[in-house]
Amino acid sequence: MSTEEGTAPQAAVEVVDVSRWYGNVVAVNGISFALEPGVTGLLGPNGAGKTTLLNMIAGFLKPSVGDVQVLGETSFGNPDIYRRVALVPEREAVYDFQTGHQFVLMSARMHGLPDAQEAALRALHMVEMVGDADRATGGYSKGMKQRVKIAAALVHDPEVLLLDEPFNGMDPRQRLQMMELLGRMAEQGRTILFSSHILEEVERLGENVLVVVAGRLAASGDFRAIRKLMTDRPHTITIRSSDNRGLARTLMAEESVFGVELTDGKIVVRTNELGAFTSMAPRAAQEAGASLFEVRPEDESLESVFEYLVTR
Amino acid sequence: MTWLVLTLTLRQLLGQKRTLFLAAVGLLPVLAAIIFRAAGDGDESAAEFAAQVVLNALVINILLPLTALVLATASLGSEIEDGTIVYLLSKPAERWRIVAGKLLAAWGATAVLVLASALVSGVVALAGEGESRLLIGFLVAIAVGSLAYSSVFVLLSLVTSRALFVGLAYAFIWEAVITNFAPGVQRFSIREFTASIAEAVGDTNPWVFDADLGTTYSVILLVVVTAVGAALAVRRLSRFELSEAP
Repeated sequence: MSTEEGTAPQAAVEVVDVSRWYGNVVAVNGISFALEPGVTGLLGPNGAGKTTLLNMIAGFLKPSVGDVQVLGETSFGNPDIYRRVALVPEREAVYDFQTGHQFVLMSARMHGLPDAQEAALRALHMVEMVGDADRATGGYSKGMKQRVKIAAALVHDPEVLLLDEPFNGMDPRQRLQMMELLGRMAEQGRTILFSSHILEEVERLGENVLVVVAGRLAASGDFRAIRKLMTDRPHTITIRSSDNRGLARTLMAEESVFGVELTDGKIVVRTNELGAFTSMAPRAAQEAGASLFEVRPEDESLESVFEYLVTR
Repeated sequence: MTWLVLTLTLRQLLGQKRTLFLAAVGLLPVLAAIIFRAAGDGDESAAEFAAQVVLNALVINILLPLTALVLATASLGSEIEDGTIVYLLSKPAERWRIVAGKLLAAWGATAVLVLASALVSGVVALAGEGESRLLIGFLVAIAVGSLAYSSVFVLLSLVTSRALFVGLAYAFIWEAVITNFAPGVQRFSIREFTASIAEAVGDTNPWVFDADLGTTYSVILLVVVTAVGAALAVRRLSRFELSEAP
């Protein structure tokens, strides 16, 4: 497809002013972005609208308003896009009576692939499930189910791969292996979008990140920039030490500190440079001749990080 | 795609407790026939008892709609409930192929179960009576009627998550009760269509078995109900949305 100006390449996924509501509950609220080949992480707390967004891109939900284009085509009500697009759903259920191999092979056959057996084996190999492929999926662990679901989605070599919480239930080794696999697939020029509510998962895999909070796109772009935004926000830290008053005086003189409060038995410090503060704190304590008993960040939950990104 | 969906669905149905429950219900007409034979001669002839009680009241009025409803909702409704429907929908296949596979599986399973029950109970009730034509009439009617029921109930399980409840209300309140009190509305009842096919094909004497509706009307309505049900199901599946409502 070409634009009127000529040769600008089509984004693999284009989401334009998309909203989706259920009754009067708004699940996704005016989100726009475009995805190029590579891995993108869709980060946000549970209930933020990640699944709704992925389902709209995958053509399983119609946007209430706005437009979703995948590889230049509208995805809703257009089964043909599944020749080039795949979704790995979050829900765990597969057909319990099938073996892993039967499940993946059925997917290959339903895609009408010329050599379904070969494609199924290749996909099982990619997720390292060949060894367990002849066991019934009903007896699989969460992580194994997740991997055969991914194999079933990879079977036709899709250009766009959408994964909803793909690392749920995987152990650290499987996570790492899956991240490597997704990374490799991205290097081959595929567009991969995966959702997660865990910061570290996205950090390791996604150079590009979309942060969704309460149905809105709170931040997007390079992960390092967003990480910096997250770490440079105002932090509240409580400190207990042998000499709170003395330490408070020293801390007040520090550049990274913009508020110190002495309350019963502890110091509450506000900083907007967490990194600088944590490297400085021990020195300050030494200067003040105080021993630190406890240094505790107050608002490290992911939800509070997201909250900050939205209200910023 | 249709064949893959069909075989997948038959395997799904085979492994379920509800299929076992239906098989148990299917034994009831057989039991009734055995008791009738064991009790010896009453006022009713064997043909009357077989047609009116065993094949019409027990099989067509109870076993057939119940089996069709449970198997149709199990074949499509349960996939929607579990979320596995996404593995069928995420394929580049026309949606009618998926509906066809589901409908054929639901129909096939229903027909096999209900026909087996009708055949065995009919043979027991009619043994030695030379009324095979009557039995054939009912068997044909069941084969046709189960397709119409399956089509409607497959559509129902796409439209509402309470398909089982709505289907029970249709079969056992509308068809069983209301059509008896409000003359005219029985013209909209799959069970009456089915009964009229049984009468026509079985060529039964009016005092043995007499359906309320005309044959031509019933045949047309059965075709229309089946076709409209399937067409609406295809349309519905083409616009299907995965429910993730908060």
